[in-house]
Amino acid sequence: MNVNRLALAGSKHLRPSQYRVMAQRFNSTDAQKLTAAEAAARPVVKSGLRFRTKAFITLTLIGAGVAGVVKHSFDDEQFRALLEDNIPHYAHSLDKLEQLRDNEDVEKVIAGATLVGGKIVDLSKTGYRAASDLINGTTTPAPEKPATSVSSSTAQLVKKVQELEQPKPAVAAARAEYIPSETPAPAFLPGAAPGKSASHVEKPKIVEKVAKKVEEVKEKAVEIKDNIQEKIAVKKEEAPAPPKKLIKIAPIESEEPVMSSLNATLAQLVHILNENGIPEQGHEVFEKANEELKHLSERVEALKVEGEAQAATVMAELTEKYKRIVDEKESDHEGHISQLKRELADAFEQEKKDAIERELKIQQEILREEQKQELIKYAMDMQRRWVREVKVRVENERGGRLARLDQINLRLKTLERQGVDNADFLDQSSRTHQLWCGVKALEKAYEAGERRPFDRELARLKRLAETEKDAEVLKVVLAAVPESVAAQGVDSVPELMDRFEYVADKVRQASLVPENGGVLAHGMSVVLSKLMFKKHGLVPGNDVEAILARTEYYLVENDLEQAVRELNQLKGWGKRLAKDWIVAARRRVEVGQAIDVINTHANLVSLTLA
Amino acid sequence: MSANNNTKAANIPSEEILSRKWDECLSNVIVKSGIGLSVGIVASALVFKKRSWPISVSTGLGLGYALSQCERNFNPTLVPVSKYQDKK
Repeated sequence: MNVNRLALAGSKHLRPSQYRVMAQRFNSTDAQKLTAAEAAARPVVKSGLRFRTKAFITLTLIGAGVAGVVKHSFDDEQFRALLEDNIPHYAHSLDKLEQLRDNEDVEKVIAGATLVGGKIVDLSKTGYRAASDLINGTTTPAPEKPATSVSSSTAQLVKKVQELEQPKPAVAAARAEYIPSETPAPAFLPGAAPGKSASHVEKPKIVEKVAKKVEEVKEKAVEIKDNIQEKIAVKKEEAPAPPKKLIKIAPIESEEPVMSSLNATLAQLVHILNENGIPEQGHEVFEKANEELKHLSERVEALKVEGEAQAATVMAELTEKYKRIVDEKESDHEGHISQLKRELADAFEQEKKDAIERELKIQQEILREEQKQELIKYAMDMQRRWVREVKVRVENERGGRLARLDQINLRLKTLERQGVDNADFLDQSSRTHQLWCGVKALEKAYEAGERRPFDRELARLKRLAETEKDAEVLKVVLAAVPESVAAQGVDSVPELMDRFEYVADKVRQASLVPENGGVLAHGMSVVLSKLMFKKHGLVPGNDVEAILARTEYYLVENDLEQAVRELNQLKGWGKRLAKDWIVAARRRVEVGQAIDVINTHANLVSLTLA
Repeated sequence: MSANNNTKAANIPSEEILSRKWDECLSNVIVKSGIGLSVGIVASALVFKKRSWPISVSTGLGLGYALSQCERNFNPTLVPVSKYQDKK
């Protein structure tokens, strides 16, 4: 039986016909076909390869795998980073490999190896050719070496160097021709060249000459000094030789300072001359000069006296004349002055009189005016008294009838006012009632257990708001509720809760999807999310479960606003999935807020009414 | 076509985006692998002398095509063969 099963099991890859044959064979009851001996006699064919081959294949595959991984990690940074993070010592090995790769010695080795390989290939090719020639008895020519071989390139280089070297002597000859042309100086400036050089040489010469001249001058000066000194000495020696004759002059005394100075100078001159010594002629001349000077001074004195006498006489005559003239003029002036005095006195008297008259007139005017004013005042007073008296009389006569009329008028006016106020109040009150009714209707639609449109109520409220005064806030709030929302209505809280359960489920399913995940990521997320625990209540944390739990809590507490805020914190797919729910909840919250505002407005109005 | 797309976008409530994607994926898989299977059967019967491998190959091809369509549906930002170098 076991044999049958084995055979049948081994027959998986048989064709149906074969299978039938096998089944027939093995389902037969006689077990003679396969005895133990026969089974043992059959050679044991080990299926599969030997262990050595298997190991070799495994190792090759592993080596190829590792090489591929390493190569890929050199190319892809992300892959490398992932491996470095997870495999210990991977970073170190990769760095070493990089160093090895960048290592120049390794490059050289690799280049050398390729070269050697090339040579071996060539060698083998020639050997093959030789062998085939021997066998066939033919000769095949060696193929041309490719131009890229090293030897040919070196031969080329040598040729090029030779070529380059040839023109060098030609260049050198040209250079040699040029060189002598530098030496001849420009011929058109004959003086310049030697001049230039001369100037260079002259400069020190000039300096030398100048120095020489200075020395000569000095020597000359010294000579001259010596000469002078000699002459002076000679003169000095000669001076005391002749006999001295001193000049004598008599000093002239006079009052004129000129004369005295002249005298002094003369004396000095004489003194000097006496010291130095002059011939005798000078004596005579000087004495003569002295005498003449004396004469001169006497003459001057005489002249002075004469002049004084003359001047005195002239002065006396003139003084007499002027005295006479002065006396005449004085008498004239006296008469003139007295006349003027009389005239001034008259004028003064006249003016005084005029001034007094004017003052009198002015005073008169002022007094008259005052009189007039007093009269007028008195007249008015009188009139007023008269009017008052008349009034009093009239009133007394009428006997209070006028007063009564006035009273009645006043009462009528107050009544009117009251009536108007009443009407206003009633109006206002009715409008407030209507507002209240409208708000209540809106609230009823809002609080209904299901979604209900409230556009009619909203329109009614808008109409009411238009007629009311101070209803700006109301109008704004009513305008803020869009038409579509009013037409469709707003979800109720139970509806939102139901929807939230569904949404939460979907969000959980999508919570484990990574960014830009594909099918598999989404599928994994769906499956694994079923293994996650659900949270409830006000749990802290920023993960999806916590957010969903908090939102649920707020929903149960009827705090829609907070719920919306919480759910808005979702990110990624969760946010996308929950968007519509958030929109619906927000709408409900906004309409609720609008209703609150309208409520408060209605409250305010009714308060201010009373 | 564009009208169809627009209405599709407007009609779905947002929480059912993923469900719809899964639906499309599933329908893709069924349709494409079915087509592959049928093509494979026909090919095997007519061309390949009743061997079994064309059927499986063709079904696999169909499944693969469906998978790539699904992948693009779930992740529209995916561009084939390019790598994101966003670390740099």
